[in-house]
Amino acid sequence: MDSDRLNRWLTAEAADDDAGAEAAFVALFASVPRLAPGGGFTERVLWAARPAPAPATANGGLLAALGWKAAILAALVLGGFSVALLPLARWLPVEAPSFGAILKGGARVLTWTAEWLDAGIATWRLLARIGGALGVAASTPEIVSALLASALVSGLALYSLNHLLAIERRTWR
Amino acid sequence: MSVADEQLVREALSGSQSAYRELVHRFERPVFNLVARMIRDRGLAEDLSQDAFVKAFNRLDTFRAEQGKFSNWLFKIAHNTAIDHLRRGELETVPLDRPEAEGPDFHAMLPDDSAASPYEAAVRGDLATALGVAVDRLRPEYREVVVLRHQEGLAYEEIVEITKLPLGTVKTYLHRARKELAGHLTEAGWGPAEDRVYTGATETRALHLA
Repeated sequence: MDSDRLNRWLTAEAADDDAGAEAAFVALFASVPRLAPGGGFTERVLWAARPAPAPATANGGLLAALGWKAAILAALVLGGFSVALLPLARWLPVEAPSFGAILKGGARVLTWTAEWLDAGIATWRLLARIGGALGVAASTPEIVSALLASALVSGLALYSLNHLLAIERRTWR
Repeated sequence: MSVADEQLVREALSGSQSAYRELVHRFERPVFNLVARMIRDRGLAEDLSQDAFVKAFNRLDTFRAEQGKFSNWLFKIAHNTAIDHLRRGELETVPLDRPEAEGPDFHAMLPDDSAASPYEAAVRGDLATALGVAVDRLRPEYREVVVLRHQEGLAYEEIVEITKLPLGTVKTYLHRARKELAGHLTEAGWGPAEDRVYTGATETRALHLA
Protein backbone atom coordinates (compact mmCIF):
# COMPACT_ATOMS: atom_id res chain seq x y z
CA MET A 1 0.00 0.00 0.00
CA ASP A 2 1.26 3.49 -0.84
CA SER A 3 0.94 4.88 2.67
CA ASP A 4 3.23 2.07 3.90
CA ARG A 5 5.79 2.94 1.21
CA LEU A 6 5.49 6.60 2.14
CA ASN A 7 6.08 5.76 5.79
CA ARG A 8 9.07 3.57 4.93
CA TRP A 9 10.54 6.28 2.68
CA LEU A 10 10.10 9.16 5.11
CA THR A 11 11.28 7.07 8.06
CA ALA A 12 14.37 5.99 6.09
CA GLU A 13 15.07 9.61 5.11
CA ALA A 14 14.79 10.68 8.74
CA ALA A 15 17.18 7.85 9.74
CA ASP A 16 19.63 8.72 6.91
CA ASP A 17 19.14 5.23 5.45
CA ASP A 18 19.93 6.16 1.86
CA ALA A 19 19.44 2.74 0.26
CA GLY A 20 16.14 2.12 2.06
CA ALA A 21 14.88 5.60 1.20
CA GLU A 22 15.79 5.18 -2.48
CA ALA A 23 14.02 1.83 -2.75
CA ALA A 24 10.84 3.04 -1.05
CA PHE A 25 10.83 6.29 -3.03
CA VAL A 26 11.18 4.53 -6.41
CA ALA A 27 8.21 2.28 -5.59
CA LEU A 28 6.16 5.23 -4.37
CA PHE A 29 6.98 7.54 -7.27
CA ALA A 30 5.59 5.02 -9.73
CA SER A 31 2.11 6.18 -8.64
CA VAL A 32 2.70 9.74 -9.88
CA PRO A 33 0.99 9.94 -13.27
CA ARG A 34 2.60 11.46 -16.32
CA LEU A 35 1.07 14.76 -17.37
CA ALA A 36 -0.74 14.44 -20.69
CA PRO A 37 -1.16 17.01 -23.48
CA GLY A 38 -4.62 18.17 -24.53
CA GLY A 39 -6.71 16.43 -27.17
CA GLY A 40 -5.67 16.75 -30.79
CA PHE A 41 -1.98 17.13 -29.93
CA THR A 42 -0.94 14.47 -32.44
CA GLU A 43 -2.86 16.18 -35.24
CA ARG A 44 -1.33 19.55 -34.38
CA VAL A 45 2.18 18.08 -34.43
CA LEU A 46 1.61 16.35 -37.77
CA TRP A 47 0.14 19.54 -39.22
CA ALA A 48 3.07 21.63 -37.96
CA ALA A 49 5.60 19.10 -39.25
CA ARG A 50 4.08 18.78 -42.73
CA PRO A 51 6.62 19.48 -45.48
CA ALA A 52 6.48 23.03 -46.86
CA PRO A 53 5.63 23.36 -50.56
CA ALA A 54 8.79 23.67 -52.63
CA PRO A 55 9.35 27.27 -53.75
CA ALA A 56 9.63 28.00 -57.48
CA THR A 57 13.34 28.12 -58.12
CA ALA A 58 15.24 29.98 -60.83
CA ASN A 59 16.08 26.61 -62.30
CA GLY A 60 12.38 25.70 -62.47
CA GLY A 61 11.60 29.00 -64.22
CA LEU A 62 14.35 28.35 -66.77
CA LEU A 63 12.96 24.89 -67.44
CA ALA A 64 9.49 26.35 -67.92
CA ALA A 65 10.84 28.96 -70.37
CA LEU A 66 12.73 26.26 -72.25
CA GLY A 67 9.52 24.19 -72.37
CA TRP A 68 7.62 27.01 -74.04
CA LYS A 69 10.39 27.58 -76.55
CA ALA A 70 10.50 23.87 -77.33
CA ALA A 71 6.71 23.79 -77.84
CA ILE A 72 6.80 26.76 -80.27
CA LEU A 73 9.70 25.22 -82.18
CA ALA A 74 7.90 21.87 -82.41
CA ALA A 75 4.73 23.61 -83.70
CA LEU A 76 6.72 25.44 -86.40
CA VAL A 77 8.48 22.25 -87.49
CA LEU A 78 5.20 20.31 -87.63
CA GLY A 79 3.52 23.16 -89.54
CA GLY A 80 6.31 23.26 -92.12
CA PHE A 81 6.25 19.49 -92.46
CA SER A 82 2.46 19.52 -93.00
CA VAL A 83 2.71 22.23 -95.70
CA ALA A 84 5.40 20.18 -97.44
CA LEU A 85 3.10 17.15 -97.42
CA LEU A 86 0.04 19.08 -98.70
CA PRO A 87 0.49 18.10 -102.41
CA LEU A 88 0.12 14.48 -101.39
CA ALA A 89 -3.44 15.20 -100.22
CA ARG A 90 -4.90 14.66 -103.71
CA TRP A 91 -4.22 10.92 -103.36
CA LEU A 92 -6.25 10.79 -100.16
CA PRO A 93 -9.50 8.76 -100.40
CA VAL A 94 -11.54 11.68 -98.94
CA GLU A 95 -13.27 13.81 -101.57
CA ALA A 96 -12.52 17.55 -101.30
CA PRO A 97 -15.57 19.89 -101.43
CA SER A 98 -16.21 21.50 -104.80
CA PHE A 99 -16.03 25.27 -105.39
CA GLY A 100 -19.80 25.43 -105.86
CA ALA A 101 -20.44 23.76 -102.53
CA ILE A 102 -18.13 26.22 -100.76
CA LEU A 103 -19.92 29.15 -102.46
CA LYS A 104 -23.32 27.77 -101.47
CA GLY A 105 -22.21 27.35 -97.85
CA GLY A 106 -20.82 30.91 -97.78
CA ALA A 107 -24.11 32.31 -99.10
CA ARG A 108 -26.02 30.40 -96.45
CA VAL A 109 -23.80 31.84 -93.70
CA LEU A 110 -24.31 35.37 -95.10
CA THR A 111 -28.10 34.94 -95.12
CA TRP A 112 -28.11 33.68 -91.54
CA THR A 113 -25.95 36.62 -90.39
CA ALA A 114 -28.26 39.13 -92.10
CA GLU A 115 -31.32 37.59 -90.43
CA TRP A 116 -29.59 37.72 -87.06
CA LEU A 117 -28.64 41.38 -87.55
CA ASP A 118 -32.20 42.24 -88.59
CA ALA A 119 -33.61 40.65 -85.41
CA GLY A 120 -31.09 42.65 -83.35
CA ILE A 121 -32.03 45.89 -85.09
CA ALA A 122 -35.73 45.25 -84.42
CA THR A 123 -34.97 44.85 -80.72
CA TRP A 124 -33.03 48.11 -80.65
CA ARG A 125 -35.90 49.80 -82.46
CA LEU A 126 -38.35 48.63 -79.78
CA LEU A 127 -36.07 49.87 -76.99
CA ALA A 128 -35.72 53.24 -78.72
CA ARG A 129 -39.51 53.50 -78.95
CA ILE A 130 -39.91 52.80 -75.20
CA GLY A 131 -37.16 55.33 -74.39
CA GLY A 132 -38.86 57.96 -76.55
CA ALA A 133 -42.22 57.43 -74.81
CA LEU A 134 -40.56 57.75 -71.40
CA GLY A 135 -38.77 60.92 -72.53
CA VAL A 136 -42.03 62.49 -73.63
CA ALA A 137 -43.65 61.56 -70.32
CA ALA A 138 -40.71 62.89 -68.30
CA SER A 139 -40.80 66.21 -70.10
CA THR A 140 -44.25 67.06 -68.61
CA PRO A 141 -44.01 69.38 -65.54
CA GLU A 142 -45.97 67.01 -63.24
CA ILE A 143 -43.64 64.06 -63.82
CA VAL A 144 -40.51 66.20 -63.57
CA SER A 145 -41.78 67.56 -60.21
CA ALA A 146 -42.53 64.04 -58.98
CA LEU A 147 -39.06 62.82 -60.01
CA LEU A 148 -37.36 65.76 -58.30
CA ALA A 149 -39.41 65.23 -55.14
CA SER A 150 -38.53 61.52 -54.95
CA ALA A 151 -34.83 62.29 -55.55
CA LEU A 152 -34.94 64.82 -52.71
CA VAL A 153 -36.62 62.32 -50.33
CA SER A 154 -34.08 59.64 -51.25
CA GLY A 155 -31.18 62.02 -50.64
CA LEU A 156 -32.53 63.04 -47.24
CA ALA A 157 -33.08 59.39 -46.26
CA LEU A 158 -29.51 58.48 -47.26
CA TYR A 159 -28.11 61.39 -45.25
CA SER A 160 -30.16 60.41 -42.14
CA LEU A 161 -29.09 56.77 -42.35
CA ASN A 162 -25.44 57.73 -42.70
CA HIS A 163 -25.74 60.02 -39.66
CA LEU A 164 -27.37 57.24 -37.60
CA LEU A 165 -24.64 54.78 -38.60
CA ALA A 166 -21.93 57.22 -37.49
CA ILE A 167 -23.62 57.53 -34.06
CA GLU A 168 -23.84 53.73 -33.78
CA ARG A 169 -20.15 53.34 -34.60
CA ARG A 170 -19.15 55.89 -31.95
CA THR A 171 -21.34 54.12 -29.35
CA TRP A 172 -19.69 50.71 -29.91
CA ARG A 173 -16.12 51.95 -30.06
CA MET B 1 3.92 -7.20 -31.17
CA SER B 2 4.60 -3.52 -31.53
CA VAL B 3 7.00 -2.21 -34.15
CA ALA B 4 10.37 -1.03 -32.81
CA ASP B 5 10.97 2.71 -32.69
CA GLU B 6 13.88 2.44 -35.09
CA GLN B 7 11.71 0.59 -37.62
CA LEU B 8 9.11 3.37 -37.35
CA VAL B 9 11.83 5.95 -37.97
CA ARG B 10 12.90 4.12 -41.12
CA GLU B 11 9.29 3.97 -42.33
CA ALA B 12 8.78 7.66 -41.54
CA LEU B 13 11.91 8.55 -43.51
CA SER B 14 10.53 6.66 -46.48
CA GLY B 15 7.44 8.87 -46.34
CA SER B 16 4.96 6.91 -44.20
CA GLN B 17 2.51 9.29 -42.53
CA SER B 18 1.22 6.53 -40.28
CA ALA B 19 4.76 5.99 -38.96
CA TYR B 20 5.02 9.68 -38.03
CA ARG B 21 1.62 9.45 -36.36
CA GLU B 22 2.65 6.38 -34.38
CA LEU B 23 5.87 8.05 -33.24
CA VAL B 24 3.94 11.08 -31.95
CA HIS B 25 1.32 8.86 -30.34
CA ARG B 26 4.02 6.78 -28.65
CA PHE B 27 6.06 9.67 -27.26
CA GLU B 28 3.65 12.58 -26.83
CA ARG B 29 3.04 11.82 -23.18
CA PRO B 30 6.66 11.28 -22.04
CA VAL B 31 7.86 14.34 -23.98
CA PHE B 32 5.02 16.54 -22.77
CA ASN B 33 5.45 15.31 -19.19
CA LEU B 34 9.16 16.19 -19.23
CA VAL B 35 8.64 19.63 -20.75
CA ALA B 36 5.61 20.43 -18.58
CA ARG B 37 7.52 19.50 -15.43
CA MET B 38 10.41 21.72 -16.52
CA ILE B 39 8.29 24.70 -17.65
CA ARG B 40 5.24 24.36 -15.36
CA ASP B 41 2.87 25.95 -17.85
CA ARG B 42 0.53 23.59 -19.66
CA GLY B 43 -0.13 25.73 -22.75
CA LEU B 44 3.51 26.64 -23.19
CA ALA B 45 4.56 23.05 -22.60
CA GLU B 46 2.26 21.94 -25.44
CA ASP B 47 3.83 24.51 -27.77
CA LEU B 48 7.37 23.53 -26.79
CA SER B 49 6.62 19.81 -27.05
CA GLN B 50 5.20 20.43 -30.51
CA ASP B 51 8.37 22.35 -31.41
CA ALA B 52 10.46 19.45 -30.15
CA PHE B 53 8.59 16.96 -32.34
CA VAL B 54 8.82 19.23 -35.39
CA LYS B 55 12.58 19.69 -34.86
CA ALA B 56 13.00 15.95 -34.44
CA PHE B 57 11.04 15.16 -37.61
CA ASN B 58 12.89 17.80 -39.61
CA ARG B 59 16.21 16.17 -38.78
CA LEU B 60 15.04 12.59 -38.49
CA ASP B 61 17.69 11.55 -41.01
CA THR B 62 20.41 12.51 -38.51
CA PHE B 63 19.19 9.94 -35.97
CA ARG B 64 21.61 7.03 -35.68
CA ALA B 65 20.18 3.94 -34.01
CA GLU B 66 23.66 2.64 -33.20
CA GLN B 67 24.32 5.72 -31.06
CA GLY B 68 21.35 5.22 -28.74
CA LYS B 69 17.63 4.80 -28.36
CA PHE B 70 15.19 6.97 -30.31
CA SER B 71 13.42 7.97 -27.08
CA ASN B 72 16.67 9.36 -25.64
CA TRP B 73 17.38 11.25 -28.87
CA LEU B 74 13.88 12.75 -28.66
CA PHE B 75 14.25 13.56 -24.94
CA LYS B 76 17.50 15.37 -25.75
CA ILE B 77 15.71 17.55 -28.30
CA ALA B 78 12.85 18.21 -25.85
CA HIS B 79 15.37 19.05 -23.11
CA ASN B 80 17.22 21.49 -25.39
CA THR B 81 13.95 23.10 -26.48
CA ALA B 82 12.84 23.65 -22.88
CA ILE B 83 16.28 24.85 -21.77
CA ASP B 84 16.46 27.32 -24.69
CA HIS B 85 13.11 28.69 -23.61
CA LEU B 86 14.20 29.03 -19.98
CA ARG B 87 17.47 30.68 -21.03
CA ARG B 88 15.63 33.23 -23.15
CA GLY B 89 14.44 34.59 -19.82
CA GLU B 90 10.85 33.57 -20.24
CA LEU B 91 10.94 32.07 -16.80
CA GLU B 92 8.15 30.44 -14.92
CA THR B 93 5.73 32.76 -13.16
CA VAL B 94 3.96 30.36 -10.79
CA PRO B 95 4.88 31.27 -7.21
CA LEU B 96 6.87 28.48 -5.60
CA ASP B 97 5.27 28.99 -2.20
CA ARG B 98 1.72 28.42 -3.52
CA PRO B 99 1.81 25.22 -5.57
CA GLU B 100 -1.84 24.45 -4.87
CA ALA B 101 -2.79 27.54 -6.88
CA GLU B 102 -2.18 25.55 -10.05
CA GLY B 103 -5.36 23.62 -9.43
CA PRO B 104 -6.28 20.04 -10.05
CA ASP B 105 -6.14 20.35 -13.86
CA PHE B 106 -2.35 20.34 -13.93
CA HIS B 107 -2.22 17.23 -11.81
CA ALA B 108 -4.88 15.32 -13.68
CA MET B 109 -5.12 11.87 -12.23
CA LEU B 110 -5.06 8.61 -14.09
CA PRO B 111 -7.74 6.09 -13.25
CA ASP B 112 -6.36 3.84 -10.56
CA ASP B 113 -7.39 0.26 -11.21
CA SER B 114 -4.91 -1.30 -8.82
CA ALA B 115 -6.41 0.12 -5.62
CA ALA B 116 -8.08 -2.45 -3.41
CA SER B 117 -10.84 -0.16 -2.12
CA PRO B 118 -12.30 3.31 -2.72
CA TYR B 119 -10.55 4.42 0.48
CA GLU B 120 -7.20 3.16 -0.75
CA ALA B 121 -7.81 4.67 -4.20
CA ALA B 122 -8.56 8.04 -2.59
CA VAL B 123 -5.41 7.92 -0.45
CA ARG B 124 -3.31 6.84 -3.40
CA GLY B 125 -4.73 9.55 -5.67
CA ASP B 126 -4.25 12.21 -3.03
CA LEU B 127 -0.71 11.10 -2.33
CA ALA B 128 0.12 11.04 -6.05
CA THR B 129 -1.22 14.59 -6.35
CA ALA B 130 0.79 15.69 -3.31
CA LEU B 131 3.92 14.13 -4.83
CA GLY B 132 3.25 15.86 -8.16
CA VAL B 133 2.84 19.21 -6.38
CA ALA B 134 6.01 18.57 -4.38
CA VAL B 135 7.92 17.78 -7.61
CA ASP B 136 6.78 21.12 -9.04
CA ARG B 137 8.28 22.89 -6.03
CA LEU B 138 11.73 21.53 -6.88
CA ARG B 139 14.31 23.45 -8.90
CA PRO B 140 13.87 22.88 -12.68
CA GLU B 141 17.10 20.86 -12.95
CA TYR B 142 15.99 18.61 -10.08
CA ARG B 143 12.53 18.17 -11.61
CA GLU B 144 14.02 17.08 -14.90
CA VAL B 145 16.33 14.42 -13.50
CA VAL B 146 13.58 13.09 -11.22
CA VAL B 147 11.21 12.70 -14.18
CA LEU B 148 13.85 11.08 -16.37
CA ARG B 149 14.99 8.72 -13.65
CA HIS B 150 11.80 7.82 -11.83
CA GLN B 151 9.08 8.24 -14.46
CA GLU B 152 10.94 7.31 -17.62
CA GLY B 153 13.16 4.79 -15.86
CA LEU B 154 16.37 5.95 -17.52
CA ALA B 155 19.83 4.91 -16.36
CA TYR B 156 22.19 7.54 -14.93
CA GLU B 157 24.29 7.38 -18.11
CA GLU B 158 21.25 8.06 -20.28
CA ILE B 159 20.35 11.09 -18.16
CA VAL B 160 23.94 12.30 -18.54
CA GLU B 161 23.62 11.94 -22.31
CA ILE B 162 20.37 13.91 -22.42
CA THR B 163 21.19 16.69 -19.96
CA LYS B 164 24.96 16.88 -20.61
CA LEU B 165 25.46 17.05 -16.85
CA PRO B 166 28.35 15.19 -15.18
CA LEU B 167 27.40 11.83 -13.68
CA GLY B 168 28.18 13.01 -10.15
CA THR B 169 25.92 16.03 -10.60
CA VAL B 170 23.04 13.86 -11.79
CA LYS B 171 23.38 11.61 -8.74
CA THR B 172 23.64 14.63 -6.42
CA TYR B 173 20.57 16.24 -7.97
CA LEU B 174 18.56 13.04 -7.56
CA HIS B 175 19.65 12.66 -3.95
CA ARG B 176 18.88 16.28 -3.08
CA ALA B 177 15.58 16.15 -4.96
CA ARG B 178 14.50 13.12 -2.94
CA LYS B 179 15.44 14.84 0.32
CA GLU B 180 13.58 17.99 -0.69
CA LEU B 181 10.52 16.00 -1.73
CA ALA B 182 10.49 14.31 1.68
CA GLY B 183 10.66 17.74 3.32
CA HIS B 184 7.82 19.13 1.17
CA LEU B 185 5.59 16.14 1.86
CA THR B 186 6.27 16.34 5.59
CA GLU B 187 5.42 20.05 5.50
CA ALA B 188 2.19 19.24 3.69
CA GLY B 189 1.11 16.88 6.47
CA TRP B 190 2.28 13.59 4.97
CA GLY B 191 4.98 13.06 7.59
CA PRO B 192 5.84 9.62 8.97
CA ALA B 193 3.07 8.44 11.20
CA GLU B 194 2.62 5.31 13.26
CA ASP B 195 -1.04 5.39 12.41
CA ARG B 196 -2.40 7.44 9.54
CA VAL B 197 -6.03 8.47 9.35
CA TYR B 198 -7.14 9.77 5.98
CA THR B 199 -9.49 12.71 6.33
CA GLY B 200 -9.51 14.15 2.82
CA ALA B 201 -7.33 16.17 0.54
CA THR B 202 -7.83 19.54 2.20
CA GLU B 203 -7.53 18.45 5.80
CA THR B 204 -4.68 17.24 7.98
CA ARG B 205 -3.64 13.85 6.71
CA ALA B 206 -1.63 12.43 9.56
CA LEU B 207 -2.71 11.96 13.12
CA HIS B 208 0.01 11.00 15.53
CA LEU B 209 -1.67 8.79 18.06
CA ALA B 210 -0.05 8.59 21.43
